[in-house]
Amino acid sequence: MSRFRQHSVIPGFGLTLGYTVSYLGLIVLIPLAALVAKGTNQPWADFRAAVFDPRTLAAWRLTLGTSFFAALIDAGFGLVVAWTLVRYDFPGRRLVDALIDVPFALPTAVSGIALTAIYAQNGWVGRWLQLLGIQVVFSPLGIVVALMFIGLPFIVRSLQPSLQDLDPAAEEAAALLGASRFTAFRRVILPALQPALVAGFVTAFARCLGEYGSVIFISGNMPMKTEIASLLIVTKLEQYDYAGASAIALLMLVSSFLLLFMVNFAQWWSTRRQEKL
Amino acid sequence: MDRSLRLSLTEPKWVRNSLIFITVSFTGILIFLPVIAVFAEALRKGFSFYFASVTDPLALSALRLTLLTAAVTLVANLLFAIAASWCIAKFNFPGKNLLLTLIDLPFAISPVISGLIFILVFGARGWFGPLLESGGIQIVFATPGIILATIFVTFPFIARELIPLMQEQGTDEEEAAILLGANAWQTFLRVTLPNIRWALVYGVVLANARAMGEFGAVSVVSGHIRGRTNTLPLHVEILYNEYNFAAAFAVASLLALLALVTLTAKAALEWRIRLEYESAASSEKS
Amino acid sequence: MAIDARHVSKTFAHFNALKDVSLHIQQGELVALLGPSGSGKTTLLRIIAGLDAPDPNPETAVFVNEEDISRKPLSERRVGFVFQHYALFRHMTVFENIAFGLRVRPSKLRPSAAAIRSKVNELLELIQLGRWASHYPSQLSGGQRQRVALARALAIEPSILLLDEPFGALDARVRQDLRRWLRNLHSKIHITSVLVTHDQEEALEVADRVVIMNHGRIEQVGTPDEVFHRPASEFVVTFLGNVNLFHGRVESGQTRVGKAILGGHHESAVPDGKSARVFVRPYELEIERQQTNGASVPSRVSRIQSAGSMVRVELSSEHSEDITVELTHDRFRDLSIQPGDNVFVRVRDARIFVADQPVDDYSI
Repeated sequence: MSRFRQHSVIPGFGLTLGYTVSYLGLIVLIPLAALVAKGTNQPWADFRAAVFDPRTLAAWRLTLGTSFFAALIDAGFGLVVAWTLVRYDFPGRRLVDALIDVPFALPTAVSGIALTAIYAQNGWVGRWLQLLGIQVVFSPLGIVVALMFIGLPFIVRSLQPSLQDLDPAAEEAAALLGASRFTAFRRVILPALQPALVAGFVTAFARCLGEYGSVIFISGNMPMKTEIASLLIVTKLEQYDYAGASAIALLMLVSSFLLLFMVNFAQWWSTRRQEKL
Repeated sequence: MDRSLRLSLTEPKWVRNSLIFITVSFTGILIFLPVIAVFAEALRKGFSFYFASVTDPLALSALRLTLLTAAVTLVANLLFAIAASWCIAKFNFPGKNLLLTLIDLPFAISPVISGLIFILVFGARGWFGPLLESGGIQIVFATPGIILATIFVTFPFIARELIPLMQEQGTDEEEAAILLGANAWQTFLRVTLPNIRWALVYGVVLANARAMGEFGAVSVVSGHIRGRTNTLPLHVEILYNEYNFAAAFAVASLLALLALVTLTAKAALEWRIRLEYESAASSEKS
Repeated sequence: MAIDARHVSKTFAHFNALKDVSLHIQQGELVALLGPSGSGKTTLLRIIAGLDAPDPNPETAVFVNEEDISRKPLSERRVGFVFQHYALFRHMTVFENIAFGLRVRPSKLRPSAAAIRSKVNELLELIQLGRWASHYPSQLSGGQRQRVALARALAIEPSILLLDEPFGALDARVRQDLRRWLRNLHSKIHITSVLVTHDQEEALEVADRVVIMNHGRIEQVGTPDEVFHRPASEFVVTFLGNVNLFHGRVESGQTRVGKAILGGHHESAVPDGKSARVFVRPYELEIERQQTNGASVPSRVSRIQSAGSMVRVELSSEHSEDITVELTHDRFRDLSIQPGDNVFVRVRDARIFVADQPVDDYSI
C-alpha cells in the first residue's frame, strides 16, 4: 500500500478508496457487465436478427435522425441564446438564463405531457401550426420538438463559459484591421467558440439518443413510424425478450460512448493544437 | 473614437434587437410555455378537482414511495460522495482518471438502460435471480429495485460537485489540523466539512430533484403496480394513459413545483459556491 | 541535541530531492535552511515534521528530542508547523484557529475552556492581534495571517517550530518587519526553530546558523558570518550576495590574474598551471588611477550608477566578466572618473577556489 501512493499524513485512504471502489463495482460495473454478457451471450444470428429487424432499424433510424436534427437546430438557436445572454443586457435576462436550466430540473414525464398538451391539435401552439397544415404530435416532428427541449441546455451551458472567456483584444484587433463586425464574428469569434459548440452538440446528441420520458407521450409510439429505440427496449422487456432488449441497449450504449469519446478526443486535440501555437 | 471603428466593435442595433427577440421568443415558446401549461392544465377542472387529485390515496402512496426513495438515495449518495471525493482529492494514486470516468458514467447512459441493467442482475432470470428467489427477496418490481435504479442515476451529482472543489482547496488545512493533533474524524468534521458545505448542499439539491423526478429507469424496474411500486412520475403516466388529463397534470404540478424550488435553490447556491472557489484560489496567492 | 537527522534521502518519482543529508540542530537554536528552489530544503523540513517519510534505508534516522520520529504517531509529536500559504482554517475565526490545537485534544489532556481562552488571549497579545480575535482570515492582511498561523502553532507548546518560507508570499516591507519580529520572538521564547527560505538576506539576518543547500545536498553549515566570509564552495560564495569573478592561474605557488599577483604562498600544495577562480565582493575592490602594487588589474570604466547609498561602477577587463565595484560617494568624488576611462582595479580581499576547493583566504 505504501508504494501505491505517497506516504501521507492524511488518514482514511484505505477506507475511502475501498468503499468507493466497492460501491462503483456493485452499482456500476456489475450491472453493466450483466448487460454486456446478456447482449453478447447469444447466438450471433439472434443478435443480428434483433438488431437488423425492420422494426429495430426503423426505430434506430428515427432515433438517430430526430436526435441529430434536434441537436442541430438547438446548436443554431443555442448559439443565438448564449450570445444574447452573455453579451446583452435586457429586462428579463436573468429569468431567461434561469429558464435554460428547466429541462435539467423538470422530470421527463412532466415535460412529456406538457409538451404534448401544447403541440396537440387544440394546444396553445399546435392550433396555429394546424392552420399551416403542420402536425406536430404523433409525428417525427413532435419527437424533434421534445428533443430540442431536452438538448438546448447542453448547448447553451457549454457555450456560455467560452463566450465569457473570449479575449476582447482579439475583436479589437480585428476591428482595427478593418474587419466589419460580421466578418470579425465569422473569422475570429466563431472559430474560438467552435470547440464548445461541437462539444455541446455532441453531448446534446448523445443525450437525445437515450431520451425516453419526454418523447413517449408526444410521439404516439407507432411501430415503424414514431417508435424510438429506448421505447423498443422497454417493449422487448415487457415481452421478456431480454436478449433482444440487451442487443439494442448495447448498440445504444456503444454509440453514446463513441460520441463522448469523440468529444474528449476533439477537445484534447484542439488544446494540443493551441499549445503548439 | 472614429465612427466607423465604433461600429465595428458592436453589432448594429437592429441585429442586437433581433437577437434578443429571437432569444426571448425561442426560450419562451420552447421552455416557458410547457412550465405554464402544467399549471394551466392542472387547474382546468377547478381547484377542488385539483386538491382531490393530489390527495387521492393512490397519489399519496406514490408520494410516499417517492419520498422514501429520495431519502434512502440521499443517504447512500452522500456517503459515496464524501468517500470518493476524499480519496480522489486528498491523495495521489494511479487509476484516478478511471475512477472519475466511472463516476461520470451514468450521465452517458439512457435512463431505460439504467433500469434494464438492474433487471438483468436482480430479475427472476437475472444473474442473482435464483439466489434471491430462494431467499424470498424481491428486488425488481419492488421498492428495493426502484431505489437501486435511482441510486444509479443520481450518485454522480453530489460527487461531481465535491471533487473539483476539494481538489481546488488542496490538503494544507488538513495537514495543519493533523499536525496540531487532530484525529481523522475531528479533521473531517471541523476542517473539511465547513469548507465544502455549500457544494454539498448544492449537490444534494440537484441529486434530490433527479431522484424524485426519475422516470425512465424507474419505469423499467418498477412493474407499475399501483399502490405499491408507483412513484409520482409513474403515477402521472398512469393517469395520463387513462385519459384522466387534469388529474395527471395536477400530480405533475407537484413535481413541477419541486423543479422550480430546485432551480431557485440552485441559483442561490451557485453564487455561494463561486465564493468558495475564489477563496480557495486566493489562499494560494495572498 | 534537539534535532538529529542522519543520512536522509528522498526521491519523488524520478526526482532526487535529497541526497544523503545529515544535520544536527542544537536546543534553542534558530537555524535557516537556505537555497534555491529545488534544493531540497522544504523536503527536509517536511521530513523533520513527519509530513513526508524519507526513503527507507537502515542508516536513515530522524530524532527529535532524542526520540525516533518514525516510531511516534503524528498526533503525539507536538511539532509546530507554519505553512507558506498559512493554511489557516478559513471558516474559523482567528480565536478559533489559535484554539484549535487545544480543543482537539482527547478529553483527558484537554485544558478547560477557561484555560484555553486565557492561553489564546496570551498568544493574541504576543502577536499583537488582540482586536482581531473574532475576525476571519479573509479579513486579515497577509502579514496578520502569518502571525495568526504562528500563534496557532505555538498554542500547543511544541518542542520544535518549523517554518516553511513563512514570509515568501508577503511584500518586501512586511517581510522585513516580520523578520525582525520573529527574531525578537525567538529571543523571548528560545524554542528550537528551523526556517526554510530562499531569501539570503532573511537567513543571514534572522538565523543563529545557516544551512546552505543545493541540489539536495548541504553545501555548508555555519553562522551567518562564517558562510558569508568563509564560504566552503563556489556555490556558497556566488549564492550569497553579489560577487565578481576573476579568472586566474596558479604559478610558482601564487595565484595570478593577468600580470597581477593575488595570492601569497599557499599552504596546501596546489600544482602549477591549474586555473584558479577568484571571487571578490564589490566593496572589496579599489579603483585607482595608477598601478600601486602588483595586485592591480587594468580595466576600463563602462558605466556609473551614483543613485544609491554607494556608487556602483561597472568596468570591463581582460581577465574577468564585467566587474562591479562599490565605492563611497566621497571616494568617487575624489577619483572623478568617467565612462571610458582606463583605470586600475585593486583587490583588497578575495576568496580563491581551485577546482572548486577553497584555497586559504587571501588578504593583503
